[in-house]
Amino acid sequence: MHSMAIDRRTFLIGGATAALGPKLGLAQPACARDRYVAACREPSGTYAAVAYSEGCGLGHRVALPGRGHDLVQRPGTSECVVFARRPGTFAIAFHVDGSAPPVEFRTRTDRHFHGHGAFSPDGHLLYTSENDFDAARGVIGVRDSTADYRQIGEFASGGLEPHDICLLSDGRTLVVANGGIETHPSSDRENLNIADMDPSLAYIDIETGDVLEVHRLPPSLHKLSIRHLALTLDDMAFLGCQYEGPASEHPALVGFHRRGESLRLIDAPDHAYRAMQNYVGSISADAAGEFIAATSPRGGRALIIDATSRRIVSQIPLADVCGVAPRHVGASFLLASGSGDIGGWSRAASPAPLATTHEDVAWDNHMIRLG
Amino acid sequence: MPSRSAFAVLRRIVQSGVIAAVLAAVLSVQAVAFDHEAFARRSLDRHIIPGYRQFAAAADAQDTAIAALCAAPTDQALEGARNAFGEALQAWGRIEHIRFGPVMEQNRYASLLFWPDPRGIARRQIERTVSQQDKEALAAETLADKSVALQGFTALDILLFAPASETLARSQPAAAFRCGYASAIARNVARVAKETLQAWSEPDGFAARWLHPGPDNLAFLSAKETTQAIGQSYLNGLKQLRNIRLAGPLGFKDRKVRPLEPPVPNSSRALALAIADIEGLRALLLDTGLSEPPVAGAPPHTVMQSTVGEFDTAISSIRKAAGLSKKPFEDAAARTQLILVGFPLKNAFDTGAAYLSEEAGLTIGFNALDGD
Repeated sequence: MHSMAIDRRTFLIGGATAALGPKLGLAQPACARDRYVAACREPSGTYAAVAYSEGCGLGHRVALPGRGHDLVQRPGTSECVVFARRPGTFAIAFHVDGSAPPVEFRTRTDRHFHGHGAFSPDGHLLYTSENDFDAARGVIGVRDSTADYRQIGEFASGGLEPHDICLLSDGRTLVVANGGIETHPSSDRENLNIADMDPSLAYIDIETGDVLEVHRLPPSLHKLSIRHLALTLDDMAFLGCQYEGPASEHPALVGFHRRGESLRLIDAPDHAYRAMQNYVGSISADAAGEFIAATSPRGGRALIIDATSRRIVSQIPLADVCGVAPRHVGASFLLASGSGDIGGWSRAASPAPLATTHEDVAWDNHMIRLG
Repeated sequence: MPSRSAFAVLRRIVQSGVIAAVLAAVLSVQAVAFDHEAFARRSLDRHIIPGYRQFAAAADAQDTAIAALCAAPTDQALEGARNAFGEALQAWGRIEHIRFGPVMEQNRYASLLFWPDPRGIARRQIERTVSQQDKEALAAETLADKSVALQGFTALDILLFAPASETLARSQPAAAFRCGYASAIARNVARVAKETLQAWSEPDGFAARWLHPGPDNLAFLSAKETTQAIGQSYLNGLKQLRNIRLAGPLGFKDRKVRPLEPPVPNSSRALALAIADIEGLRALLLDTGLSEPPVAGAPPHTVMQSTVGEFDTAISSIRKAAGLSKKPFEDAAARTQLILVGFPLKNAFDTGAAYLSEEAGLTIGFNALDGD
């Protein structure tokens, strides 16, 4: 009888505990293994970085002084850094378990962040993409994570408007997506050089700051801004692009490159890119490096691409989708939208419609999975 | 008493019936789908084409006036050229919020008004062109292949209004290059304006794509996408005006960033341009019917009608600022007036965004609007 009463009670309140799980500290067993973190806007209009896991929903939260963009995890730790959306100047390092107070740091007054960063493999140094706006020059800032992220150096990004950056598996070569668009904080986010845009993909030796290679698209595609990167395990860089040319033109928005080879774009049949309205907002590789997901909030859809054959294997509709991160199992991604919807895609379940849950936040452009 | 009670019941039934009928009417109004096709047609016929037609006419008049100045330089001719510049600039301001279609091709948009220019690129390039007497700047055809910073209103503002511009009223050899270059710019602006209008209105032109969306149409898949284009023009136009054109020169920044130089500073027409921008956005609401009832017979859309009023408030504040100082972005009293303009523009943005998402069913996305 007693156990039955407990079962009944568990049954009756079970739904509520599942929904309120993280706040009550209950229902931990229902949490999926993967934990994620993303910037978001909250219902009150405030901005935050917040942890999330499937089954458990929202977790630890850190308030931000303005809108955030991407995050990066410091290797081997529970510490993450969230960067301001351009032209913001703040970044905040915080522990996703709340074990230490957050540390806020800023750019120099004549720089601003472009929203992305990468750690050295030992987690000691943080590299950040920044704008030297009065010189219209892209730079990579270098900071010491063991000294409250004090800036200790800077080198050229090999192009204009470095956006996403990633470290190759050698731990020494930084690949930089130089968006090629000139902006200045006095002019908000306005594209100041649409006629002369010059996007590029650069490889930089982080020990010397030497620019090792710079690759460009053909001149006819100089308005195709290379902005986001996803690396596969064998250092193939997949590129997520945005086209600033006329809306009636629809160039490929996803490309790929490996050092020493030429830069190529991935053709898509049936107007797949057209539905993305010339805009990829985020790109991610799955855990096995076999699939690439590229999201378009403007088109309200995500493309899944086979990384080997470079064919599109799925097109997933989700309004205002942008954030995308791999689940720990291969051939699977988590997708998050600006209206708060969040859903998992997996090759095994495809092409079933995406099942989504909802959180009461507007998920921002990028989401990362914690290692 | 019983009859009175029965009357009360009856009255209640009648009232509830009336309420139900009213509710049904309201619901049916809301249930009527937003007519994207009709909206596209109104936007084209009442706003886009007339806007470009007026701009093309004003650009032609500017071309004629500057050509006349070069042919017979006098104070009067210089005055005529300067006035024509003001008219053409305002005509552009009234339609510059349309940032899709032919105007975005062949760098037309960028060539008309090179601004903002935080690093002063245009001034340097224009001064070099004048000092070196670059002959390629003397013909519209060769000028069109040069930097966009040399081609539009920003360059004309320097040539027609900067200190040395007084020489344009005299028959001096030194003024000949300056006038020839100004004339080439005016001719090029007139060509761009005319080509933009033609590209919309010629048979099989952009208007045909605008009115006939579909799978074979590379610009628009559905009529909802044309509404989206107009909606974005409205929202981005307001954002540009508020956050860049006004806030930039006011210098609202949390760090040491120099305030932007206002557009066309030599002619002191930055506020006239801002008013033209607002007039254009207000006209967008009125011309396309966004401020009217969603269906015939429905009550007027009071929120959108009040938005028209927000634009009137903004214009009147800017007029006050313009009346207070020749350098309104530096004068304290004028700045106060300009700071006030931010509020009605913000309201117009918020009500517009709500209307477009609720009534027209557009996704005004947190990420979709972000652009990063």
